[in-house]
Amino acid sequence: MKNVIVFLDMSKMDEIVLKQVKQLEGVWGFDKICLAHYIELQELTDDFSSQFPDLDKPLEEILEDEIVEKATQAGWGAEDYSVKIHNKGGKDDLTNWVNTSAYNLCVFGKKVINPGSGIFASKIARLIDKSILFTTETSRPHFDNVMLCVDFSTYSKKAVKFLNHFIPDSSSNFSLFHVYKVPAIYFPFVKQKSEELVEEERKKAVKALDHFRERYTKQPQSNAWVEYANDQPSDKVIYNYARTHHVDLIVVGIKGKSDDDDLLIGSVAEKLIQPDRSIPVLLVQ
Amino acid sequence: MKNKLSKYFDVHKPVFWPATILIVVFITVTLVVGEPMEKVFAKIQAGISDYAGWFFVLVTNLFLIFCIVIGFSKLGKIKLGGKDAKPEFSRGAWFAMLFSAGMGIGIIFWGVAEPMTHFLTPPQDVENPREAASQAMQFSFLHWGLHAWGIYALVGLSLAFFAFSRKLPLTIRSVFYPILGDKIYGWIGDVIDVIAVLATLFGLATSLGLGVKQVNSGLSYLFDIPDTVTTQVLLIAGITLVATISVFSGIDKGVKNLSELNIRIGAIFLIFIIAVGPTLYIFDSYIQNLGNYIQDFFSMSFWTESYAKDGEGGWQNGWTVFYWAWWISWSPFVGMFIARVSKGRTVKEFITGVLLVPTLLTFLWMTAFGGTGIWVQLNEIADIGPEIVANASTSLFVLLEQFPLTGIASGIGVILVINFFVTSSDSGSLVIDSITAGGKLDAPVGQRIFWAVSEGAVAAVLLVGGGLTALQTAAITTGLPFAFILILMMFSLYKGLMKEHARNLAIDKETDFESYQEKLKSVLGKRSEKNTKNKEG
Repeated sequence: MKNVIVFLDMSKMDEIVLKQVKQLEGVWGFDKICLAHYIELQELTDDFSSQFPDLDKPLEEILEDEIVEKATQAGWGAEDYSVKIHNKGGKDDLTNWVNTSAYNLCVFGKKVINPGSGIFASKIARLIDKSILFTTETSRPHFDNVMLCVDFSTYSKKAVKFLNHFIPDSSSNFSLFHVYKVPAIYFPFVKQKSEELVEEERKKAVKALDHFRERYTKQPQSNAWVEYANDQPSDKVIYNYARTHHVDLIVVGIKGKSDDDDLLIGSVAEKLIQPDRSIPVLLVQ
Repeated sequence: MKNKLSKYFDVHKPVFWPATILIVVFITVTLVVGEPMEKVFAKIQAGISDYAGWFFVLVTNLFLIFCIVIGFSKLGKIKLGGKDAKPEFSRGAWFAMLFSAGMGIGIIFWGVAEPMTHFLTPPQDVENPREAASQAMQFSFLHWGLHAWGIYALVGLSLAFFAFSRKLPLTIRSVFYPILGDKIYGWIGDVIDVIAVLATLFGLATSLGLGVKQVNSGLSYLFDIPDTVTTQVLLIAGITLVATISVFSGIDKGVKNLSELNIRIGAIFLIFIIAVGPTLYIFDSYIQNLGNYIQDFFSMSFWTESYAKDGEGGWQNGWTVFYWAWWISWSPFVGMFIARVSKGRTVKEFITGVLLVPTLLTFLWMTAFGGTGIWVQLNEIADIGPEIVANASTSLFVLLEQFPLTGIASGIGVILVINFFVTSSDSGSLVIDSITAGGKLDAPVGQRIFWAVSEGAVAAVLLVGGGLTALQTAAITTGLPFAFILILMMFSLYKGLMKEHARNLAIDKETDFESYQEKLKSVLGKRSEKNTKNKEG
């Protein structure tokens, strides 16, 4: 099943996201789409509602109408989707609804050009246990070049499984990417990171990634890229590599190998979804 | 047909059947082998406590330290049942319920017998009777104090957290969700639950066995009924029948009232002994015993009898190790009770309440009953010691003989134990039933009766097969595997709480209300405009 919840925030971004998801549907093929909005205010103040004396419907219905209107404008048919306005019970209830539903992918629009805080999306990303796609205004929603970041953790395996399921064969170029480092344990003994040591690690990384590709992916001809971190943080290496290789979707497991138990989302994933990074990201749970 | 059957029988088969079969096998073997079983039990008990004694001492300390650290760390702020959960009971009522969790057959049975026995045969070298008295109280406090409640707090907190905050079924396997994930619904979860059922059942049977021995002693004291295993088995049958009928006829409420009544009788009993006994001495020694307990807490907690002369050790195996194993084995029983009443409490509140409230009450009980026993002996008012050492179950009645209203007081004592028997058996079968039904709370009555009868049967068989030794062996043998489960439980609970803490931090992150209001305004403004236009048009 490919069931998708698209979160809309009532901003201009919605129109872009709706168009993108519509296009993406043509490539990936979704079974069920739900357009959802979460009302962040617990209650409307009298002062607030008195500004709009001519409202004939409750807030939920108005917002639903608004979403339907936007969807129609973006070329959606009425039978393509359902609408959910979430009002009662706060974020806890919202995450419960998402987590227990049959939807397996959530889509958020991430504002790179337009102003927006992105707080809601990054917060919800921490609380739900479904995979999440962050698109941006500049996304090419075909996602021709998909790059999966592999650190050989169970999350990498989950991510590749998810992609095998969600992305139809041959709809995009598929690349595996691994950032390798020289393990810190050598350092007290080896002062300088000699080139031999780096080369040795590179060979190991290539071998491991090839093995991973053969074992888990459906696309045997996919690229297997490795890159030396050279003291840079992994997220930076990943992002720069993706930029120079025209990647239009970065896929990472929501957590990596070294993440502590108390973090709900790995540090690499966290950095990749920051507002200043313009490449779309898919976080796989 | 299937529906009709499930009205009486709705179990989680992979837990129910293995547990049932193991229990039936145990009962059959004990009955078929007969008398020689007593030696077998003694061997098993000696074996486990010789080799694993240090392990029990270590883990009970670990559990207690873990609870305190968790309770007073940043995790202490986590609320059981989510951030907005409200406590179901007022604080006063909650305290009262924790008090009642601390009351039971155990302290009525051992309240006099334990301090007296330690007094007469001091576990560590002493120079004079006064030192022996003080040491006797200290060891009794050790066995019934914070360590016991540390174990219950661990199990109770884990159950409450995963049931209320994570909305998993209220059974032991749920606690392992952070480690095992969905595998808790598979065979590993089944194994965990089977061990939990067996541990609870045997721990409970130990209690029931002790209780019935005491009832028998009381009756023989009051009415000259013979104090034999046959009488005890008949008593178990009779009391279990009463418990069963009360369950079957659906008077759950009656059982609830009965247990409330019990706590009141217990309280009156305690006040009675304080009043007619050496009142001032009891208060004096309560304070002094508390001080001694705190002072020697670490050295006593970690004491393993290492430097005993060859052939002289072994005291600890029969006492400390037995208690640790006993508490561990029936921790699901107490844990489930305190979990159920603690929704909406914070972790810190939970740990503080569960560790302190019942402990202080138990200490008072021990001082009032056991301390008074020692007082009688120490001041040479009467030589009650030998009789108590010879048969621990008579100790309460031997003591009451020294004070006014002996007959009535002893009668109340017997009623109290019977009452506790009925309520323990009833609530115990509820716990086991809930575990074997996959965490359901409203499992059919038929199953509960089945478990009530099983508990009675196991207690009876243990008495037939070897009396007190058999009861202790049962607790130790099932306590050992469950101790390993509790170690895993610590890790799992820690993981779960850490995740919850991170979640809470994430939720607390401020929402950007202003920008949201702006967006809402633009949508509403557009709508409002449209409506105005429509009206005008």
